[in-house]
This record gives sequence, C-alpha cells and structure tokens, in this order.
Amino acid sequence: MSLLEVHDIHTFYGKIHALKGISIKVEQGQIVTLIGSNGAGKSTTLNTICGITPAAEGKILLDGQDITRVPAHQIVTRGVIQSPEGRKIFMRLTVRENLEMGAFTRNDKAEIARDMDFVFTRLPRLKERIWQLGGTLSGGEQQMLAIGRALMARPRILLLDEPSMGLAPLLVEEIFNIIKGINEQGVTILLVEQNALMALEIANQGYVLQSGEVKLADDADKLLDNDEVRKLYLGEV
Amino acid sequence: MIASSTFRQGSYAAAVAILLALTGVFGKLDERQVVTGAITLSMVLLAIMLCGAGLMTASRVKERGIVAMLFNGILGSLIVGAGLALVMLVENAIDLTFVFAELKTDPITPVLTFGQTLSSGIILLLVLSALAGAISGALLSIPSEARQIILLSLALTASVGLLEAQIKSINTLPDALAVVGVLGTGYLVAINQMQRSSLVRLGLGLGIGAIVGIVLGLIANGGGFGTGSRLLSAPGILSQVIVFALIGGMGSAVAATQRNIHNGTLFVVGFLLSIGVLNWQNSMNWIATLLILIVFATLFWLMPRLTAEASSRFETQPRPERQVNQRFSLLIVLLVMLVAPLFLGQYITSIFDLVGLYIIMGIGLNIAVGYTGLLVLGFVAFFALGAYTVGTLTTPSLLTCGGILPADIARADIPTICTGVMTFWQAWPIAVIVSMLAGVVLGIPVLRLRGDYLAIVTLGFGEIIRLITLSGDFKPIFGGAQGIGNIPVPVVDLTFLNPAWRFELGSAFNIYYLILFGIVITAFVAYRLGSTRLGRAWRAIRADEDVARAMGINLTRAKLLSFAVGAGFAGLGGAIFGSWLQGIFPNSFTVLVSINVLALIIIGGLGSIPGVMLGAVILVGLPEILRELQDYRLLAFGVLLVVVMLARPEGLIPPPVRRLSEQVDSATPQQGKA
Amino acid sequence: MASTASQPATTSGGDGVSLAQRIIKLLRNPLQVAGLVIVIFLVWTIIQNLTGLAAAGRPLSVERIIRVIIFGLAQGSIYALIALGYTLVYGILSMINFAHSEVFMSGAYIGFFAIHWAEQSGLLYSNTALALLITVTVGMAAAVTIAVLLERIAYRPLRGAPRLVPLITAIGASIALQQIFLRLFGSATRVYPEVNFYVLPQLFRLECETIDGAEICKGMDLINGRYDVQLLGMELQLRPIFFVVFFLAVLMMAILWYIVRRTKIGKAMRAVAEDRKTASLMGINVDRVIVSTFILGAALAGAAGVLFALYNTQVSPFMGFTPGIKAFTAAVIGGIGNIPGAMFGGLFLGVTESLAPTLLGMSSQLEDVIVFGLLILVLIFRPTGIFGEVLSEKKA
Repeated sequence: MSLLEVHDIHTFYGKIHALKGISIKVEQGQIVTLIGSNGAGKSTTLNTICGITPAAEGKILLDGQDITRVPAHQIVTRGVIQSPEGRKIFMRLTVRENLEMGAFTRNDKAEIARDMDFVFTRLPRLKERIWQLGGTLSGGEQQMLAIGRALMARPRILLLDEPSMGLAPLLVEEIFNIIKGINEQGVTILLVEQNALMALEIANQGYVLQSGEVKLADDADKLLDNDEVRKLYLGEV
Repeated sequence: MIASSTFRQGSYAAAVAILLALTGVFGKLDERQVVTGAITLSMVLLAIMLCGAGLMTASRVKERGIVAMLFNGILGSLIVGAGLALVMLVENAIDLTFVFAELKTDPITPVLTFGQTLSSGIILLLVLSALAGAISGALLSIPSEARQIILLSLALTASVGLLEAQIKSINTLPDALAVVGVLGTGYLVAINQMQRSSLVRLGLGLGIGAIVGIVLGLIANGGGFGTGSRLLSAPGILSQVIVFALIGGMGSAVAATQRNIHNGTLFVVGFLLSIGVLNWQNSMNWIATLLILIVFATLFWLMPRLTAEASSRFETQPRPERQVNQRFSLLIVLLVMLVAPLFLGQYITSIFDLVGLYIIMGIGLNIAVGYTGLLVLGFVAFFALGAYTVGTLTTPSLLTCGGILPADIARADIPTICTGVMTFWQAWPIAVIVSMLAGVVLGIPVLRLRGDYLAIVTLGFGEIIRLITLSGDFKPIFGGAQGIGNIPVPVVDLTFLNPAWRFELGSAFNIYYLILFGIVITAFVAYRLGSTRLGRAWRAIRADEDVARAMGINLTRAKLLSFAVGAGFAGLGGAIFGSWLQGIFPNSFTVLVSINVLALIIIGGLGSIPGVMLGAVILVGLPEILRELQDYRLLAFGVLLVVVMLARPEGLIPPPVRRLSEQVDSATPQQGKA
Repeated sequence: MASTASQPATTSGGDGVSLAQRIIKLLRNPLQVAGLVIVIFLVWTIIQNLTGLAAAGRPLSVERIIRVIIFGLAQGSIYALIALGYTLVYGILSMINFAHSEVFMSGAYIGFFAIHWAEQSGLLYSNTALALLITVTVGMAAAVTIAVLLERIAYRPLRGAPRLVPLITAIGASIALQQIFLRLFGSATRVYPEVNFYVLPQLFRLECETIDGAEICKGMDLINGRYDVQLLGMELQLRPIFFVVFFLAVLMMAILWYIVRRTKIGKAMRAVAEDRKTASLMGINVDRVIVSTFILGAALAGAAGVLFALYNTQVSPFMGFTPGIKAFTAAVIGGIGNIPGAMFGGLFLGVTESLAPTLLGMSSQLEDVIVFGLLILVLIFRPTGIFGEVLSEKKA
C-alpha cells in the first residue's frame, strides 16, 4: 500500500474546473515530482491534498485512510506537511519563531528542541540568523526556512511547492541537494516544480500535468528521455 | 427519521422566539388587526415563527421524502411552541418584570393562550404548533413556484389587511376593474399588432382607451357608478377620456417593456384590485381576505410568464421603437406620481414626502458609495448643512441681519435691518453649493483612506457637525439645542400671470410636488452622470483604485467630484427638509439618519437608482405605516441589514450589468460591427 | 500580534536629508500646512489660557489640571481596554468590529443584574469583594457570549466577502444588539447601586467614627470614596476608583501582552493575523484562533464595561456608542493592529479629551469634537498611527 494515494480528484475554483480527475501514487521513501507549465494544476493538487481547497469529487488516501474531507489543520496532525508556493514564511516572526510555528501541533518539548538542533545542523545559515525577522532573510534563506519549518512537524510526507521559484541557479542546486539529503534520511517527498530538469533528476517517479489532467506518468529517468517531455519542458528543439 | 439538525435548528428558532416574546412583542402587536375581528398581527407573527421553524427543519430532510419532511417540520415547530409555553410557565411562576421590563405592560400569557386558561392555552398552542409544522412540511413538497406564490400572496394580503384603514378609500372596485379592463385591452391589442410600429400601437391603445373613456364617462355622468369613485366620477367627460386614453396607451406600451416596468405595472394592478375589493367589503373580512388572496396569487402566477414575454418582445424591437415605449411608460409613471396625492390622502402623502427626501439623499449617497465605492458614514452632515443654510438665510439671523444678533434687535426694526433674509428659491442653490463645498472639504483629508477607515472618519465628521450645531458655543449661528424656528414655507409666486396663483408649499400635499421635482432632477443628473467618462472613472475606482490610477484616472478629481455631487444632493434634500418642517432641530441629524440612508441604498441595490427608491420605500415608508412596530423598527432594521448581507449582498434591485450588445446595437448597418 | 520593532511606517523623510529640506517638503503639502496651522493655533490658545492672558479670567489652577488628568487616565484606561478589542480583531480579520461597542455595553448591563442581585441578597454588603468579583465575571461572560455569537452568526459566513459587506453587517449587528437590549430590558436607565468597598483600615485611617469612645475606622473606600489630600502644597480631592481602574486596566493589558507574546495561542494569533492560509498549513485551527481573539477582546471590553459603570453608575443600551468610537480612534492613533499602540492611544486620548476643553477654554460639550478632530489630525499627519500599523499583507 502506498503512503499517499490520490484517486481521480476534481477541484473547482468557483465555476472553474481546475483539476479534472488527477490520480497519483506516492510510495514510502520516494521523491515523486509533478511537473507541468503554469496553470496546469500542480499547486492546486497540493492544496487539495492538504485540504485548503477541498476536492469536489474523488478520494485521497493516506496510508489507506480516507483524508478527503478532513479539515486542513487536522491533515497536518497526520503528517502531511506543505511548504507552500512562494515560501510564505512569517515575515514578522523571527527565524526561531517560524520554526516553532512549524512544530505547532506537537507537544513534546524535548523532541522539538532536538528537531530544531537537527534543522540548524542541516541548514547552518538559519542558525546564524536565528533571531532575525523572517522578512529580513534573502530568497534562498527563506526557502531554507520554509523547508526547515516543514521539517519541524516531523512530516510523514513533505509537499514542496516550487522550491526553486525566484532563486538563482546556484541556490537552486543547493536547495535541491538539501531536498535530496532530507529524502535520504527517510522523508517521503512530493515535489511540484516548474524546473522540470532538476526535479526529474532527483525524483524517482514523475507525473506530467497539463490543464488539470495527468498527461504522462512514469519513472523519472524514463521521463527525462521522453521526447515529448524533452520538447515541452526541457527546452529541447 | 428525525434529523439531528432538527433539534439544533428548532432550538435556535425557539431561542429567537423566546427572546422576541420577552420583549413584549406579542402584547403590542395584538392591538392591530389583519383580518378584521379574527386575526391579529400577533397571531401572524406566531404563525411566521412556527411555520418558519417548520420550513427550516423540514427543508433539511428534503431528500428523505414527504413523511420525513412532515415529521421534522412538526418537530421543529413543536420545539418552538414548547419554548414559548415554557416561557409562559415561568412568567406565571416568578416575577420577570424587573429584568424584562416590557412584560409589565405587555405580558405574554394572555396573548399566547388565546384567552384561555394557562393549561388549555398551552395545549392549544402546542396543537397549533404541530399543525403549523405539518403545513410547512406539506408546503415543501409542492413545487417551489407554487410555494413561492402561496407565501408571497399571503404576505401581501396580510400587508393589505394591516394597512386597511389607510388604504381602503384610495379607489373603488369599479375604478379598479375599469383600469384593469382598459389596460388589458390596450395590452392585448398591442400583442396582436406587434408587426406594426410602436407609435401605431400606442395610438391604438390611446384610441381604444378614449372610446371606453367616453362610454364610462357617459355612464358616470348618468350616476351609474355612485359616489366615492375617484376615477369614474370625476367631473366632465373630457377627464374620463383623457385618463382612460392614457391608461389604454400605457397598456399597449407595457406589452413590450423591460422587466422592472412590467413587474411594477402588474403590482400596481394587483394593488388596485385588492384595494377595490377592500373598499367594496368596507373592511378586511373573510370574503375580502379570500378574494385578495386570489388576486395576488393570480398576479404572481401570471407575472413571470407575462413579464418574460413582454421582455422578449422588448428585446426584439429595434432601438427607436424601444425608446418610444420606454419614454411613454416613464411619462405615465410621472403622471401617476403627479396625481397620486389626490388619491392617497394626506397621511400617505406625508409618508411619501419623507420617503422622497430619503430618496434624494439616497441618490446622493449612491454616487459616493454606489458608483465610486467610497464608504461614507456621516452623510447626514451635508443634509444638515443644507437645512441650516436655508434656515439661517431665510430667517432673521446673524448672517441676514448684517452681523447683529436678532435677539438684540427690536421686533419692529427687524424688517429694516435684516435685509439679507431670502426666499427659499434664493436660498436653496446656496445650500447646495455650501454642501458641495463641505463635500470637497471632507474629501480632501480622506483621499488616501480606504474602506473602514474612511467610514469611521466620515462618521466622525458627521458627528462633529451635529455637535457643533448642538453646542452652546455656536448658538448665535446655529441656534443651539433649540435649533432654528419659524422658517418660512416656500412660496410659488406666479401672481404676475394670474393674481390667484400664489401657492404656499406648506402642506404635505404641496411639498410633495417640490420633493418630486427634486427627485426627478437628482435622478436624472445621477443617471446621466453615470454614463459619462466621469461615471466610468467612478466605477473604475470602485472596482480597484490602484488599477484605476494606473489607467490614468485622476483619483483626486474623481473622488472629490463624487463627494461634492453626493453632498450637493443631500444639501438639496436638507434645504427642502428645513422648509417643510418650518424649523430645524439638531437632533434630527443623528448618525441613525446616515445609517438609514446607507442601509436603504445597500438593501435596494448599490449603484442602482430604482434600487434606491425601493430601499427607501421599504426602510422608510413601511415603518411609518406600521405604527405598532415603531418601537421595533430599529431592531428590524439592524436585523434586516445583517440578513440581507448574509443572503443577498448585492441588494434587491442590483444595477444592470452594462452589456456589450447595447453598443453593438447602436452601430448602424453601414458602419459595420466594431 | 506585533512587536514594537515592527515594519517602519510609511511616511516620508529619508536619511541624510537636511532639516531645511524637510521643512520645505513639509510646507509643500497644503494639507500638512493646514494641520500645522491648526496645531499652532491650539498651542497658542493653550498658552493663553494657562497664563490667564485670555480676556475672561484667572489662570487655571494646577489642582484642576491634576484632577482632570487623573480622571483622563481612568477614562483612558477604559478606552484602552476597548481599543484592544478593536485592534485584535482588525489585526486578524482586517475588519472593524463595529459591534464591539455593544460588547462593552453588554458587560456593563448584564453586570448590573449581577450587582443588583448582590445588593438585594445582601452579599454586596457582607462580602463586597466577592460581589464585585462576581459582577466583573458575569460582565465578562456576557460580553464573551455576545462576541462569540457575533462571530459565528454574522462574521464567519462573510469571511471572503468584499470590504463593504462585513462592515454593513457589523453596523447592522450593532444596531440590532442595542435594540435587543432596549426591547428586552426596557428603556429605563439602570443604575448601579452605591458600592462601598473598604480596605486596609490599619493603613488608612479614614471613614472613622467614634463608637463607645473608641475610634473605629473602616478604611479607604475604593469605589465611592472621595478624599481630600495634601500633596506638594496642593489641596487635591482624589477618588481612589480612578486609580483602581487604571491599575486593573494595566494589569489586564499586561496579561494580554503576555498571552499574545508568550503563549502558543498568542503566537498562533499572530500567525493567523499575518497569513491565514499558511497558518492553517502549520496545523493551526484558524476558526478556533479567530474565536479566541474575539473572546480575548470581549473579556477586556466586558471588564471595562463593569469598571466604567462602577464610577459612572448609569447603564443604558446606548452607552457603548461614544466610548466605542473613541476607543476606535485610540486604536487608530496608536496604529491599528498594534497592541501597545492601542494601550497608549487609549490613555493618550483619555487624557487629551479631559484636558483639552479645560486648556482651550471650551465647554466640555465639545470634548467629543476634540476626539474626532484628533482622529482627523492623526490621519493627516500620520495615517499609520503613532507606532505604525501592523497589518497583514492582505489589506484590501
């Protein structure tokens, strides 16, 4: 049984039919990536899984349990943690408070402290800025903070929405290395990206979304070789 | 069988019912009769409560079938009934009157036990509750159109019953039947002659109406309709001919017209018939009630069908034809408004006057809030300024007496010293200008403010004006708490044409025409402004200020103009107000007036002039008429605001979305499509 | 919701601009010039009055000024407590809770029934402290109930609606609440009974009588006492109630401050205020946080209501309107969304409102005009408030 199964979900924004029957499977320990152009429905898929924009039809199963209708703040307690598009860290809270926010649903003080140390070890630049307000960090640092914040919740599955957005290529590489490192520690990751190349390079499985539907689904390395994918998303002529 | 929601909703409904009961509302409403000698207003309220609860609870289980609906409906209503019974038991056990003061004069028990003993009364109440619940459940199982018709007809019939005393002498049954007949004939003729131009159809309508008018006139002159008929026993055949010709023409015009006008006409027809029936029976007895119910039910059944057809006929007409119809209809509406006071009597006319003033203010506020999206809460300030300007300029005051306090001048000397005293006609333009200036002055500091801030600041401004006019420090100018008295009535002096033509606009009747004039002017100006570039700029600002600015719209100019025009209209209203009451008191200008105006344009539909009018009728006219509810008026008002915002925030008559097709239509075939 | 080290306010004036340049820049804006002229005029009038050069009369006595300031501080504390309710809700929902003034009123009004019962049953005399505690608790509970109902019925369904809609709803709710109280409880003004709360008879040898040759002192009457005091060569008449109100208000504000800054729920509030969606991604139950915010604000307002009624004695369904507007003004002055700002704004407003008529030689009828005028002045010179607005990015 997969860790996360999404069965044929349809999501609407008012009258707009954003997701037209998306089905995805994420196995434990994998990195699965959703790629596609703007407006394809990638972020919407993540938001639907997290309960922010609930699905009108379809089912979402976490470890076999139906979480389709569970409210957003409860999905978090089940270990589905999203680092949203645009990072969305709390500008007016310090780095430390941001991380504490990530652990909001947890009560085990000692473990939380340990996790924070762990985050600082993995992301030393955050430790340097521990008392700074979130709004004063650079883009790359904010992305690290967002990921760190998500980690503080001890996710069973980590949903990352476009971590490369607005970052310089070197930073993107650094972020992706961090993501890979996190995955190697055992965290399952569902990665939404416009930077198809980098995403497919670190992922195990890939789904190509277009206009709210899954156009292609395969192993990531097979997708890297796929002609259509190369043409549309990897910039090959 | 029983839904979980039923207990919850029933309890909410019961809580509301109990709260209302504790305010003594049943006792107060018991005075007013709806069906003479049989049903009082308090019984109507009880019915509304019980059926309302039943409808709510039953509708939740709609899918489960009629038995479930009946069951849950009964349960819901029973809970409410039980709640009320409980309150009665408590009322009889302990003295509640210290906390709930109204129960002293208006106790619950006598009313809700229907005059029986406590125990039998309670049983009766519970039985009635169950019955109400069953009816509600049953109502939900019939098609929704039928249900709406039933409910609306009941509501309107009850309204007629409430207003019985005031309206029963407006017209007789023969009047109504004649009007309906002629109108209908013109209508049918027009439908049959759609292939001809609208002018031709109008002519036919006018002609037929004239013929009928002649016939009726002859009969009337022979005494055939008795006295009491306003229309039919008017003196001379000529007036009959003219009136019925116009009615016939209206009939043919309405056959192909827009929704609002068509619906409005049908409503008027319905009311005329009901009033006619009422008049015939002379009181709201069971026969009258039944007949009126049938009238309204028929009306509501016909309305969607007929209006849809008329509307589509309207659409398929070419533009010039449509305009002819539209203009004629508006002309008739205007004529009706002109002669209405003759029919409606002093009391209702004075209500129209108040409603009219609020319409003028509403149109003004609509420009700031409806068109431009600027939330102004202190609007009453401009109204006050208009009134005070007219007050100070038309009476001996500091301004008109050359800087000397009138109190310091001997009575006899006043005419010679106070040469600045003006007439109403000289003073009102100044009032409008003063208000406009004030609008600009208010506008300047608040240009940068948005939304809620703007509201509060304008509220503060309104309060400042009120406090200043009230204060003792400014008494020489504003008259302090006593205000300004002895304001002369406006006088229309046409004696140069005819020595007899000197009209003092003092009575409710006379001032009606002044107010009507004001409404026509302001509505016209507002409507036209809406189609200009300025109007479009306003609407852009309302949609999104930043984008508007990026489009190159001068925000400052547009906003200040919006304030100025709106304030100017309010000033006009205030000027008329002061002269009407012949005196001004600062406590007429409270926040509540501002809120009233705001509420009526919102509930009527922001940005729409017919909406303003409807809103004024509902929020200002209705409470004046329902006197018993005077005490509850504000409560209903507040609740209505909340309910409307929750249910239909765009208002009752939202402004029509301007359609691209209008512009395409206006391009002539030679020019081709844009 | 905010730290004092918040985002800098959006007014002009960069670094390295000379003083002369800044003055010229100030003068360019006609609005600011007008405001400046008004301020200068006011200062001139004040100086005139203070030194008695004004035509009418003798200079103002320092005693009077001190008395007025003390009253102003007490009044201002009440405003501050109410202002906090406005600021909390505005920070989290970006809407003015127009009906908050009625929440304040409900505390005072329902508190009346509690204290009336205490009087009738004798508890008010046998155990004044307990009676007062019960009254305040009842007042707070009533206020909280009203606020929660408001949020559930009128505000929650309209969370995403355009600005105008919740505002109108709030206005409607405010009117409805006033009227419900009026209709339910009658139009007669309710009057709080006279409360005498004596403390520390050993320390304060006040309210003494001689019984059987021995002097028995009841102590200082916190609620109703008026005492002549000699201080620094001045004769002052002091009422302890004002100090009590001030002290209690500061205490409550300190508790609120602690809750918002230190506790988990407080941090959740700040997170929700900043970015609602992301906060829910943290597992924060946004609805619950919003209700908690309302509850906090209402508790403060309810307590304020009872305190206000204790020295004002009269309660009516309409008593909330004016303090409500003033409290909102205070919140704006301090910077809406800014908690210490609201506290400061309230106190500042209270003192100014009391002091200004005296200093300017106007009647106190016009003290409300001063408040509104102050609001407009603030909005001209510093629209973001004295401490700067702290709002989420999503201000419409």
